[in-house]
Amino acid sequence: MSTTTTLAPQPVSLAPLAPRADFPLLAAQPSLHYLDSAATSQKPQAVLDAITGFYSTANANPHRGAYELSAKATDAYHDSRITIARFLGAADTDTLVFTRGTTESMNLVANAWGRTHVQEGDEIVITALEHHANFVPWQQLALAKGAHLRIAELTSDQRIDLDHLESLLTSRTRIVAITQVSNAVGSITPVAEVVRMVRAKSPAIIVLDGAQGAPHLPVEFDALGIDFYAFSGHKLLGPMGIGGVIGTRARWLECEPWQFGGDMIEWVNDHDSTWNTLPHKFEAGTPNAADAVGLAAAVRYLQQLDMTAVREHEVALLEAAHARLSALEGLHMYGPPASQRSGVISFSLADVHPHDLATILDQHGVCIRAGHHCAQPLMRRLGTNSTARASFYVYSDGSDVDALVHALTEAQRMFAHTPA
Amino acid sequence: MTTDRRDGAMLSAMYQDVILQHYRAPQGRGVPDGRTGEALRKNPLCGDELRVGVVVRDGVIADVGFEGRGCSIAVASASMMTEAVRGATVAAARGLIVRVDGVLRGDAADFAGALADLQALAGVAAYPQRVGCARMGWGALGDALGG
Repeated sequence: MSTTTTLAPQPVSLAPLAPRADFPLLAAQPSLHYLDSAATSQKPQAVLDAITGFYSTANANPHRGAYELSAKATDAYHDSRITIARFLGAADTDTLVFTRGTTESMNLVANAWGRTHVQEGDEIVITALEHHANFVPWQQLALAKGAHLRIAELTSDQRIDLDHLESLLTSRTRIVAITQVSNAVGSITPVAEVVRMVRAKSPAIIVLDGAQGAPHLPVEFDALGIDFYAFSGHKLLGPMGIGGVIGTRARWLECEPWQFGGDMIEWVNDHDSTWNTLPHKFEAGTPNAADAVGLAAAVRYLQQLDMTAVREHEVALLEAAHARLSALEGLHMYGPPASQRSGVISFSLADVHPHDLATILDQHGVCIRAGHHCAQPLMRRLGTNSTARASFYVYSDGSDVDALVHALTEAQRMFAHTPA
Repeated sequence: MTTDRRDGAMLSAMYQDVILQHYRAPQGRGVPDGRTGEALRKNPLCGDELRVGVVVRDGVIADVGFEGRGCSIAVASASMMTEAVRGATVAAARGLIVRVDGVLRGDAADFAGALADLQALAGVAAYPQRVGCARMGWGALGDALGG
Protein backbone atom coordinates (compact mmCIF):
# COMPACT_ATOMS: atom_id res chain seq x y z
CA MET A 1 0.00 0.00 0.00
CA SER A 2 1.42 3.39 -0.83
CA THR A 3 -0.02 6.74 0.10
CA THR A 4 0.69 9.62 -2.23
CA THR A 5 0.25 13.09 -0.89
CA THR A 6 -0.01 15.48 -3.79
CA LEU A 7 -1.01 18.60 -1.91
CA ALA A 8 1.46 19.82 0.66
CA PRO A 9 -0.69 20.70 3.66
CA GLN A 10 -0.61 24.26 4.94
CA PRO A 11 1.44 24.59 8.12
CA VAL A 12 -0.61 25.48 11.16
CA SER A 13 0.13 29.10 12.05
CA LEU A 14 -0.65 29.33 15.72
CA ALA A 15 1.68 31.09 18.12
CA PRO A 16 2.17 29.72 21.62
CA LEU A 17 0.23 31.51 24.36
CA ALA A 18 3.27 31.47 26.65
CA PRO A 19 6.72 32.05 25.13
CA ARG A 20 8.90 28.93 24.95
CA ALA A 21 11.71 31.14 26.23
CA ASP A 22 9.98 31.18 29.63
CA PHE A 23 10.47 27.42 29.92
CA PRO A 24 14.14 26.47 30.34
CA LEU A 25 13.70 22.90 29.09
CA LEU A 26 11.88 24.00 25.93
CA ALA A 27 14.28 26.87 25.34
CA ALA A 28 17.24 24.51 25.55
CA GLN A 29 15.69 22.03 23.11
CA PRO A 30 14.15 24.08 20.30
CA SER A 31 13.46 21.02 18.13
CA LEU A 32 11.54 19.21 20.87
CA HIS A 33 7.77 18.93 20.44
CA TYR A 34 6.48 18.15 23.89
CA LEU A 35 2.95 16.79 23.48
CA ASP A 36 2.58 15.03 26.82
CA SER A 37 1.42 17.88 29.05
CA ALA A 38 -1.53 15.83 30.26
CA ALA A 39 1.06 13.62 31.97
CA THR A 40 3.02 16.55 33.35
CA SER A 41 3.56 20.11 32.21
CA GLN A 42 6.88 21.83 31.66
CA LYS A 43 7.90 24.42 34.28
CA PRO A 44 8.51 28.12 33.70
CA GLN A 45 11.64 29.76 35.09
CA ALA A 46 9.44 31.73 37.52
CA VAL A 47 8.50 28.46 39.27
CA LEU A 48 12.08 27.25 39.50
CA ASP A 49 13.13 30.66 40.83
CA ALA A 50 10.40 30.60 43.47
CA ILE A 51 11.53 27.19 44.76
CA THR A 52 15.18 28.21 44.80
CA GLY A 53 14.17 31.50 46.41
CA PHE A 54 12.41 29.72 49.25
CA TYR A 55 15.38 27.49 49.98
CA SER A 56 17.90 30.30 49.69
CA THR A 57 16.07 32.99 51.69
CA ALA A 58 13.28 31.46 53.81
CA ASN A 59 14.16 27.83 54.52
CA ALA A 60 13.11 26.74 58.00
CA ASN A 61 10.45 24.37 59.27
CA PRO A 62 7.09 26.16 59.12
CA HIS A 63 4.93 26.33 62.28
CA ARG A 64 7.88 25.30 64.47
CA GLY A 65 10.51 27.80 65.49
CA ALA A 66 9.93 30.95 67.51
CA TYR A 67 12.49 32.74 65.39
CA GLU A 68 12.12 35.07 62.46
CA LEU A 69 13.27 32.68 59.75
CA SER A 70 10.68 30.08 60.74
CA ALA A 71 8.04 32.80 60.73
CA LYS A 72 9.15 33.73 57.21
CA ALA A 73 8.79 30.12 56.06
CA THR A 74 5.37 29.91 57.72
CA ASP A 75 4.27 33.09 55.95
CA ALA A 76 5.51 31.86 52.57
CA TYR A 77 3.58 28.61 53.01
CA HIS A 78 0.47 30.40 54.24
CA ASP A 79 0.54 32.97 51.43
CA SER A 80 0.88 30.18 48.86
CA ARG A 81 -2.25 28.54 50.21
CA ILE A 82 -4.17 31.80 49.82
CA THR A 83 -2.93 32.36 46.26
CA ILE A 84 -3.79 28.83 45.14
CA ALA A 85 -7.17 28.64 46.89
CA ARG A 86 -8.24 31.96 45.35
CA PHE A 87 -7.05 30.84 41.91
CA LEU A 88 -9.43 27.89 42.22
CA GLY A 89 -12.25 30.10 43.47
CA ALA A 90 -12.33 29.17 47.16
CA ALA A 91 -12.88 32.24 49.35
CA ASP A 92 -12.40 30.26 52.58
CA THR A 93 -8.72 29.63 51.89
CA ASP A 94 -8.13 27.37 54.93
CA THR A 95 -10.36 24.78 53.27
CA LEU A 96 -7.48 24.03 50.88
CA VAL A 97 -5.47 21.12 52.27
CA PHE A 98 -2.14 20.48 50.60
CA THR A 99 -1.32 16.94 49.48
CA ARG A 100 1.20 15.36 47.15
CA GLY A 101 -1.34 15.56 44.34
CA THR A 102 -4.69 14.28 43.12
CA THR A 103 -3.97 10.65 43.99
CA GLU A 104 -3.24 11.49 47.61
CA SER A 105 -6.21 13.87 47.69
CA MET A 106 -8.59 11.09 46.63
CA ASN A 107 -7.11 8.72 49.17
CA LEU A 108 -7.53 11.44 51.79
CA VAL A 109 -11.24 11.90 51.07
CA ALA A 110 -11.84 8.14 50.80
CA ASN A 111 -10.22 7.64 54.21
CA ALA A 112 -11.06 10.81 56.12
CA TRP A 113 -14.70 11.04 55.03
CA GLY A 114 -15.43 7.69 53.37
CA ARG A 115 -14.34 5.39 56.18
CA THR A 116 -16.74 6.99 58.65
CA HIS A 117 -19.66 7.73 56.33
CA VAL A 118 -19.95 4.74 54.02
CA GLN A 119 -21.64 1.67 55.51
CA GLU A 120 -22.45 -1.80 54.27
CA GLY A 121 -25.02 -1.68 51.49
CA ASP A 122 -24.34 1.96 50.64
CA GLU A 123 -23.48 2.95 47.10
CA ILE A 124 -20.57 4.80 45.53
CA VAL A 125 -20.96 6.12 41.99
CA ILE A 126 -18.03 6.70 39.66
CA THR A 127 -17.76 6.65 35.87
CA ALA A 128 -16.01 4.54 33.23
CA LEU A 129 -13.97 7.61 32.31
CA GLU A 130 -12.02 7.78 35.56
CA HIS A 131 -8.26 7.77 35.98
CA HIS A 132 -7.14 4.98 38.32
CA ALA A 133 -6.56 7.67 40.98
CA ASN A 134 -10.30 8.36 41.06
CA PHE A 135 -11.26 4.73 40.60
CA VAL A 136 -9.20 2.45 42.80
CA PRO A 137 -9.65 4.39 46.11
CA TRP A 138 -13.45 4.08 45.73
CA GLN A 139 -13.30 0.49 44.54
CA GLN A 140 -11.23 -0.39 47.61
CA LEU A 141 -13.42 1.63 49.97
CA ALA A 142 -16.47 -0.23 48.63
CA LEU A 143 -14.72 -3.58 49.11
CA ALA A 144 -13.65 -2.68 52.66
CA LYS A 145 -17.12 -1.50 53.66
CA GLY A 146 -19.28 -3.95 51.76
CA ALA A 147 -20.67 -1.06 49.74
CA HIS A 148 -21.64 -1.27 46.07
CA LEU A 149 -19.56 0.44 43.40
CA ARG A 150 -21.71 1.71 40.53
CA ILE A 151 -20.05 2.74 37.27
CA ALA A 152 -21.75 5.20 34.91
CA GLU A 153 -21.19 4.20 31.30
CA LEU A 154 -20.25 6.43 28.37
CA THR A 155 -21.71 7.69 25.12
CA SER A 156 -20.20 6.53 21.83
CA ASP A 157 -17.91 9.59 21.82
CA GLN A 158 -16.67 8.92 25.37
CA ARG A 159 -18.67 11.46 27.31
CA ILE A 160 -20.38 10.44 30.54
CA ASP A 161 -23.83 9.06 29.74
CA LEU A 162 -25.82 11.42 31.98
CA ASP A 163 -29.02 9.38 31.72
CA HIS A 164 -27.20 6.32 32.93
CA LEU A 165 -25.50 8.31 35.67
CA GLU A 166 -28.85 9.63 36.81
CA SER A 167 -30.32 6.12 36.87
CA LEU A 168 -27.60 5.03 39.31
CA LEU A 169 -28.39 7.71 41.92
CA THR A 170 -30.44 6.54 44.91
CA SER A 171 -31.04 7.42 48.53
CA ARG A 172 -28.19 4.99 49.36
CA THR A 173 -25.63 6.81 47.20
CA ARG A 174 -23.05 8.24 49.62
CA ILE A 175 -20.34 9.43 47.23
CA VAL A 176 -20.31 10.51 43.60
CA ALA A 177 -16.69 10.78 42.43
CA ILE A 178 -16.29 12.05 38.92
CA THR A 179 -13.65 13.57 36.72
CA GLN A 180 -13.92 17.18 35.55
CA VAL A 181 -11.91 16.39 32.41
CA SER A 182 -10.87 12.95 31.16
CA ASN A 183 -7.10 12.53 31.09
CA ALA A 184 -7.34 9.82 28.43
CA VAL A 185 -9.72 11.31 25.86
CA GLY A 186 -10.26 14.90 27.05
CA SER A 187 -14.06 14.83 27.56
CA ILE A 188 -15.25 17.73 29.73
CA THR A 189 -17.92 16.85 32.29
CA PRO A 190 -20.93 19.18 32.43
CA VAL A 191 -20.44 19.61 36.18
CA ALA A 192 -23.44 21.89 36.83
CA GLU A 193 -25.79 19.32 35.30
CA VAL A 194 -24.24 16.49 37.30
CA VAL A 195 -24.52 18.50 40.52
CA ARG A 196 -28.22 19.22 39.89
CA MET A 197 -28.85 15.55 39.25
CA VAL A 198 -27.01 14.33 42.31
CA ARG A 199 -28.63 16.87 44.63
CA ALA A 200 -32.10 15.98 43.33
CA LYS A 201 -31.69 12.21 43.60
CA SER A 202 -29.40 11.42 46.49
CA PRO A 203 -27.75 12.65 49.69
CA ALA A 204 -24.30 11.90 48.22
CA ILE A 205 -21.26 14.10 48.49
CA ILE A 206 -19.69 15.10 45.18
CA VAL A 207 -15.95 14.69 44.71
CA LEU A 208 -14.53 16.23 41.55
CA ASP A 209 -11.21 15.07 40.10
CA GLY A 210 -9.68 18.31 38.84
CA ALA A 211 -6.28 16.90 37.84
CA GLN A 212 -6.98 17.75 34.19
CA GLY A 213 -9.55 20.45 34.89
CA ALA A 214 -7.56 22.92 36.98
CA PRO A 215 -4.75 23.30 34.40
CA HIS A 216 -7.07 23.88 31.46
CA LEU A 217 -10.32 25.51 32.57
CA PRO A 218 -11.24 28.44 34.79
CA VAL A 219 -12.36 26.91 38.11
CA GLU A 220 -14.67 28.54 40.70
CA PHE A 221 -14.92 26.09 43.58
CA ASP A 222 -17.49 28.16 45.47
CA ALA A 223 -19.76 28.29 42.42
CA LEU A 224 -19.54 24.59 41.55
CA GLY A 225 -21.73 23.41 44.41
CA ILE A 226 -19.56 20.34 45.02
CA ASP A 227 -18.07 18.99 48.25
CA PHE A 228 -14.44 18.25 47.38
CA TYR A 229 -12.15 19.31 44.53
CA ALA A 230 -8.82 17.51 44.05
CA PHE A 231 -5.95 18.71 41.86
CA SER A 232 -2.25 18.27 41.11
CA GLY A 233 0.29 21.08 40.88
CA HIS A 234 2.67 19.49 38.37
CA LYS A 235 0.07 19.47 35.60
CA LEU A 236 -0.45 23.23 35.90
CA LEU A 237 3.16 24.39 35.54
CA GLY A 238 4.00 23.68 39.20
CA PRO A 239 6.48 21.25 40.71
CA MET A 240 5.88 17.53 41.20
CA GLY A 241 4.86 16.41 44.68
CA ILE A 242 2.41 19.18 45.55
CA GLY A 243 -1.31 19.44 44.97
CA GLY A 244 -4.34 19.61 47.15
CA VAL A 245 -7.97 19.14 47.91
CA ILE A 246 -10.48 21.88 48.60
CA GLY A 247 -13.56 20.97 50.62
CA THR A 248 -16.48 22.84 52.04
CA ARG A 249 -15.95 23.63 55.71
CA ALA A 250 -19.04 21.60 56.58
CA ARG A 251 -17.60 18.46 54.98
CA TRP A 252 -14.17 18.96 56.50
CA LEU A 253 -15.82 19.08 59.94
CA GLU A 254 -17.23 15.62 59.25
CA CYS A 255 -13.77 14.22 58.45
CA GLU A 256 -11.53 12.27 60.79
CA PRO A 257 -7.77 12.66 60.53
CA TRP A 258 -6.22 10.02 58.28
CA GLN A 259 -2.52 10.54 58.95
CA PHE A 260 -1.15 11.21 62.42
CA GLY A 261 1.96 12.97 63.66
CA GLY A 262 3.38 16.43 64.05
CA ASP A 263 1.49 19.60 63.06
CA MET A 264 -1.91 17.86 62.91
CA ILE A 265 -2.24 17.59 66.69
CA GLU A 266 -3.38 20.15 69.23
CA TRP A 267 -2.33 18.26 72.36
CA VAL A 268 -0.87 14.78 72.87
CA ASN A 269 -1.66 12.99 76.13
CA ASP A 270 -0.25 9.59 77.03
CA HIS A 271 -3.32 7.71 75.90
CA ASP A 272 -5.21 10.08 73.61
CA SER A 273 -4.76 13.24 71.59
CA THR A 274 -6.73 16.19 70.32
CA TRP A 275 -6.50 17.63 66.85
CA ASN A 276 -5.40 20.88 65.26
CA THR A 277 -7.87 22.92 63.20
CA LEU A 278 -8.26 23.18 59.43
CA PRO A 279 -6.18 22.88 57.32
CA HIS A 280 -3.44 21.53 59.62
CA LYS A 281 -5.56 18.66 60.94
CA PHE A 282 -5.10 16.97 57.57
CA GLU A 283 -1.46 17.91 56.97
CA ALA A 284 0.60 15.64 59.22
CA GLY A 285 4.36 16.16 59.31
CA THR A 286 6.62 18.83 57.87
CA PRO A 287 4.73 20.42 54.98
CA ASN A 288 6.11 20.65 51.45
CA ALA A 289 6.45 24.41 51.79
CA ALA A 290 8.98 24.97 49.00
CA ASP A 291 6.80 23.27 46.40
CA ALA A 292 3.72 25.11 47.66
CA VAL A 293 5.65 28.32 47.01
CA GLY A 294 6.57 26.98 43.56
CA LEU A 295 2.95 26.12 42.85
CA ALA A 296 1.84 29.60 43.89
CA ALA A 297 4.32 31.01 41.35
CA ALA A 298 2.84 28.71 38.69
CA VAL A 299 -0.64 29.95 39.56
CA ARG A 300 0.44 33.58 39.26
CA TYR A 301 1.97 32.76 35.88
CA LEU A 302 -1.33 31.24 34.72
CA GLN A 303 -3.28 34.18 36.12
CA GLN A 304 -1.19 36.52 33.98
CA LEU A 305 -1.97 34.42 30.92
CA ASP A 306 -5.64 34.31 31.98
CA MET A 307 -7.40 30.96 32.17
CA THR A 308 -10.01 31.96 29.60
CA ALA A 309 -7.19 32.62 27.13
CA VAL A 310 -5.62 29.26 28.08
CA ARG A 311 -8.84 27.51 27.18
CA GLU A 312 -9.21 29.45 23.91
CA HIS A 313 -5.64 28.63 22.93
CA GLU A 314 -6.28 24.92 23.46
CA VAL A 315 -9.51 24.94 21.48
CA ALA A 316 -7.67 26.59 18.56
CA LEU A 317 -4.92 23.95 18.72
CA LEU A 318 -7.48 21.16 19.00
CA GLU A 319 -9.39 22.35 15.98
CA ALA A 320 -6.24 22.75 13.88
CA ALA A 321 -4.96 19.33 14.94
CA HIS A 322 -8.32 17.73 14.36
CA ALA A 323 -8.48 19.06 10.81
CA ARG A 324 -4.96 17.90 10.00
CA LEU A 325 -5.30 14.49 11.63
CA SER A 326 -8.67 13.79 10.00
CA ALA A 327 -6.89 13.88 6.64
CA LEU A 328 -4.65 10.94 7.61
CA GLU A 329 -5.86 7.63 6.27
CA GLY A 330 -6.52 5.02 8.95
CA LEU A 331 -6.35 7.47 11.82
CA HIS A 332 -9.14 7.19 14.36
CA MET A 333 -9.68 9.84 17.04
CA TYR A 334 -11.52 9.12 20.27
CA GLY A 335 -13.54 11.59 22.30
CA PRO A 336 -16.04 14.40 21.72
CA PRO A 337 -15.72 17.55 19.53
CA ALA A 338 -13.37 20.37 20.57
CA SER A 339 -16.12 22.36 22.31
CA GLN A 340 -16.59 19.52 24.82
CA ARG A 341 -12.99 18.47 25.04
CA SER A 342 -9.82 19.65 26.72
CA GLY A 343 -6.43 19.83 24.97
CA VAL A 344 -6.07 16.08 24.56
CA ILE A 345 -6.23 14.03 21.37
CA SER A 346 -6.35 10.28 21.86
CA PHE A 347 -6.06 8.26 18.69
CA SER A 348 -5.06 5.07 16.98
CA LEU A 349 -3.45 4.58 13.60
CA ALA A 350 -4.36 1.48 11.61
CA ASP A 351 -1.62 -1.16 11.57
CA VAL A 352 0.67 0.79 13.89
CA HIS A 353 0.53 -0.09 17.58
CA PRO A 354 0.62 2.99 19.88
CA HIS A 355 3.84 1.77 21.46
CA ASP A 356 5.51 1.65 18.05
CA LEU A 357 4.10 5.08 17.26
CA ALA A 358 5.59 6.58 20.42
CA THR A 359 9.03 5.21 19.60
CA ILE A 360 8.95 6.40 15.99
CA LEU A 361 7.55 9.84 16.92
CA ASP A 362 10.23 10.19 19.58
CA GLN A 363 12.79 9.82 16.79
CA HIS A 364 11.24 12.93 15.25
CA GLY A 365 11.43 14.83 18.51
CA VAL A 366 7.70 14.42 19.17
CA CYS A 367 6.86 13.25 22.70
CA ILE A 368 3.47 11.56 22.97
CA ARG A 369 2.08 9.10 25.47
CA ALA A 370 1.22 5.55 24.42
CA GLY A 371 -0.55 3.21 26.76
CA HIS A 372 -3.65 2.85 28.85
CA HIS A 373 -3.26 6.31 30.43
CA CYS A 374 -4.05 4.87 33.87
CA ALA A 375 -7.60 4.33 32.62
CA GLN A 376 -7.89 0.59 32.02
CA PRO A 377 -11.67 0.52 32.62
CA LEU A 378 -12.01 3.05 29.77
CA MET A 379 -9.64 1.10 27.50
CA ARG A 380 -11.76 -2.04 27.99
CA ARG A 381 -14.81 -0.10 26.84
CA LEU A 382 -12.93 1.21 23.81
CA GLY A 383 -12.06 -2.41 23.01
CA THR A 384 -8.34 -1.75 23.05
CA ASN A 385 -5.32 -2.10 25.35
CA SER A 386 -3.89 1.28 24.60
CA THR A 387 -4.14 4.46 22.58
CA ALA A 388 -1.70 7.13 21.49
CA ARG A 389 -2.29 10.51 23.12
CA ALA A 390 -1.06 13.97 22.19
CA SER A 391 -1.82 16.75 24.68
CA PHE A 392 -1.32 20.51 24.48
CA TYR A 393 -0.65 23.31 26.88
CA VAL A 394 0.14 27.01 26.96
CA TYR A 395 3.55 26.66 25.27
CA SER A 396 2.22 24.43 22.45
CA ASP A 397 1.94 25.97 19.01
CA GLY A 398 1.17 25.22 15.37
CA SER A 399 4.64 23.79 14.76
CA ASP A 400 3.88 21.07 17.32
CA VAL A 401 0.81 20.07 15.32
CA ASP A 402 2.83 20.10 12.08
CA ALA A 403 5.57 17.95 13.64
CA LEU A 404 2.99 15.49 14.97
CA VAL A 405 1.34 15.10 11.59
CA HIS A 406 4.66 14.81 9.79
CA ALA A 407 5.94 12.13 12.20
CA LEU A 408 2.68 10.20 11.90
CA THR A 409 2.97 10.08 8.12
CA GLU A 410 6.54 8.84 8.53
CA ALA A 411 5.35 6.08 10.86
CA GLN A 412 2.67 5.15 8.35
CA ARG A 413 5.23 5.06 5.57
CA MET A 414 7.51 2.84 7.62
CA PHE A 415 4.80 0.34 8.46
CA ALA A 416 3.20 0.44 5.00
CA HIS A 417 6.47 -0.45 3.32
CA THR A 418 6.18 -4.11 2.42
CA PRO A 419 9.45 -5.95 2.89
CA ALA A 420 10.64 -8.01 -0.05
CA MET B 1 13.72 11.30 25.20
CA THR B 2 15.27 13.72 22.82
CA THR B 3 16.45 13.29 19.29
CA ASP B 4 20.12 13.72 20.07
CA ARG B 5 20.34 10.41 21.92
CA ARG B 6 19.64 8.25 18.94
CA ASP B 7 19.86 8.42 15.21
CA GLY B 8 17.71 7.11 12.40
CA ALA B 9 20.08 4.17 11.93
CA MET B 10 19.22 2.87 15.39
CA LEU B 11 15.52 3.14 14.65
CA SER B 12 15.90 1.13 11.44
CA ALA B 13 18.06 -1.34 13.37
CA MET B 14 15.06 -2.03 15.57
CA TYR B 15 12.39 -1.90 12.89
CA GLN B 16 14.21 -4.21 10.47
CA ASP B 17 12.29 -5.80 7.64
CA VAL B 18 12.45 -9.14 9.39
CA ILE B 19 10.67 -7.64 12.43
CA LEU B 20 7.98 -6.04 10.29
CA GLN B 21 7.53 -9.28 8.34
CA HIS B 22 6.95 -11.26 11.52
CA TYR B 23 4.58 -8.54 12.77
CA ARG B 24 2.46 -8.61 9.62
CA ALA B 25 2.39 -12.38 9.28
CA PRO B 26 3.17 -13.86 12.68
CA GLN B 27 4.13 -17.50 12.93
CA GLY B 28 2.71 -19.71 15.64
CA ARG B 29 -0.54 -17.77 15.99
CA GLY B 30 -2.93 -19.47 18.39
CA VAL B 31 -2.40 -21.45 21.54
CA PRO B 32 -2.18 -25.15 20.50
CA ASP B 33 -4.78 -27.73 21.51
CA GLY B 34 -3.63 -30.43 23.88
CA ARG B 35 -1.12 -28.06 25.44
CA THR B 36 0.84 -29.29 28.42
CA GLY B 37 1.61 -25.81 29.67
CA GLU B 38 0.58 -22.22 29.13
CA ALA B 39 1.32 -18.83 30.63
CA LEU B 40 0.19 -15.24 30.30
CA ARG B 41 2.53 -12.26 30.38
CA LYS B 42 1.30 -8.70 30.69
CA ASN B 43 3.09 -5.44 30.09
CA PRO B 44 1.62 -3.09 32.69
CA LEU B 45 3.16 -0.08 30.89
CA CYS B 46 0.94 -0.40 27.86
CA GLY B 47 -1.67 -2.98 28.83
CA ASP B 48 -0.56 -5.52 26.23
CA GLU B 49 -0.92 -9.24 26.94
CA LEU B 50 0.50 -12.36 25.32
CA ARG B 51 -0.42 -15.95 26.14
CA VAL B 52 1.92 -18.77 25.14
CA GLY B 53 0.97 -22.44 25.08
CA VAL B 54 3.30 -25.43 24.62
CA VAL B 55 2.87 -29.12 23.91
CA VAL B 56 5.83 -30.98 25.41
CA ARG B 57 6.33 -34.67 24.61
CA ASP B 58 9.34 -36.64 25.87
CA GLY B 59 11.26 -33.50 26.66
CA VAL B 60 10.69 -31.99 23.21
CA ILE B 61 8.50 -29.00 22.32
CA ALA B 62 6.19 -30.68 19.81
CA ASP B 63 4.10 -27.53 19.33
CA VAL B 64 4.06 -23.96 20.54
CA GLY B 65 1.90 -20.91 19.80
CA PHE B 66 0.79 -17.57 21.16
CA GLU B 67 -2.22 -15.29 21.20
CA GLY B 68 -2.94 -11.78 22.40
CA ARG B 69 -2.34 -8.19 21.46
CA GLY B 70 0.98 -6.47 21.26
CA CYS B 71 3.12 -3.97 19.43
CA SER B 72 5.31 -4.95 16.49
CA ILE B 73 8.25 -5.76 18.73
CA ALA B 74 6.20 -7.96 21.07
CA VAL B 75 4.45 -9.83 18.27
CA ALA B 76 7.54 -10.24 16.08
CA SER B 77 9.61 -11.46 18.99
CA ALA B 78 6.92 -13.99 20.00
CA SER B 79 6.56 -15.11 16.39
CA MET B 80 10.33 -15.70 16.12
CA MET B 81 10.24 -17.49 19.42
CA THR B 82 7.73 -20.07 18.16
CA GLU B 83 9.84 -20.71 15.06
CA ALA B 84 12.99 -21.01 17.08
CA VAL B 85 11.79 -23.48 19.71
CA ARG B 86 9.33 -25.67 17.83
CA GLY B 87 10.96 -29.13 17.74
CA ALA B 88 13.66 -28.12 20.21
CA THR B 89 14.28 -29.88 23.50
CA VAL B 90 13.05 -28.11 26.61
CA ALA B 91 16.67 -27.77 27.73
CA ALA B 92 17.67 -26.13 24.45
CA ALA B 93 14.68 -23.76 24.65
CA ARG B 94 15.65 -22.72 28.15
CA GLY B 95 19.16 -22.04 26.94
CA LEU B 96 17.79 -19.91 24.11
CA ILE B 97 15.59 -17.89 26.50
CA VAL B 98 18.72 -16.97 28.47
CA ARG B 99 20.64 -16.08 25.31
CA VAL B 100 17.85 -13.88 23.95
CA ASP B 101 17.65 -12.15 27.30
CA GLY B 102 21.35 -11.42 27.05
CA VAL B 103 20.96 -10.03 23.53
CA LEU B 104 18.17 -7.73 24.73
CA ARG B 105 20.52 -6.51 27.45
CA GLY B 106 23.12 -5.67 24.81
CA ASP B 107 25.24 -8.85 24.49
CA ALA B 108 26.52 -9.45 20.98
CA ALA B 109 24.19 -11.58 18.92
CA ASP B 110 25.55 -14.38 16.78
CA PHE B 111 22.62 -16.46 15.63
CA ALA B 112 22.96 -18.52 12.47
CA GLY B 113 20.96 -20.90 10.35
CA ALA B 114 17.40 -21.46 11.45
CA LEU B 115 17.87 -18.96 14.30
CA ALA B 116 19.17 -16.14 12.08
CA ASP B 117 16.01 -14.07 12.43
CA LEU B 118 16.74 -13.66 16.15
CA GLN B 119 19.68 -11.48 15.18
CA ALA B 120 17.12 -8.73 14.55
CA LEU B 121 16.29 -8.54 18.26
CA ALA B 122 19.70 -6.99 18.91
CA GLY B 123 18.35 -3.68 17.60
CA VAL B 124 15.87 -3.52 20.49
CA ALA B 125 18.64 -3.28 23.09
CA ALA B 126 19.11 0.41 22.25
CA TYR B 127 15.54 1.11 23.38
CA PRO B 128 15.25 0.15 27.06
CA GLN B 129 11.53 1.05 27.12
CA ARG B 130 10.94 -1.57 24.42
CA VAL B 131 12.99 -4.43 25.83
CA GLY B 132 9.98 -5.46 27.94
CA CYS B 133 7.94 -5.77 24.72
CA ALA B 134 10.49 -8.13 23.17
CA ARG B 135 10.69 -10.19 26.36
CA MET B 136 6.97 -10.91 26.72
CA GLY B 137 6.78 -13.98 24.48
CA TRP B 138 10.03 -15.46 25.74
CA GLY B 139 9.08 -14.85 29.36
CA ALA B 140 5.72 -16.51 28.82
CA LEU B 141 7.44 -19.48 27.14
CA GLY B 142 9.70 -19.86 30.19
CA ASP B 143 6.66 -19.78 32.47
CA ALA B 144 4.75 -22.22 30.27
CA LEU B 145 7.64 -24.69 30.41
CA GLY B 146 7.42 -24.47 34.20
CA GLY B 147 10.00 -25.03 36.93
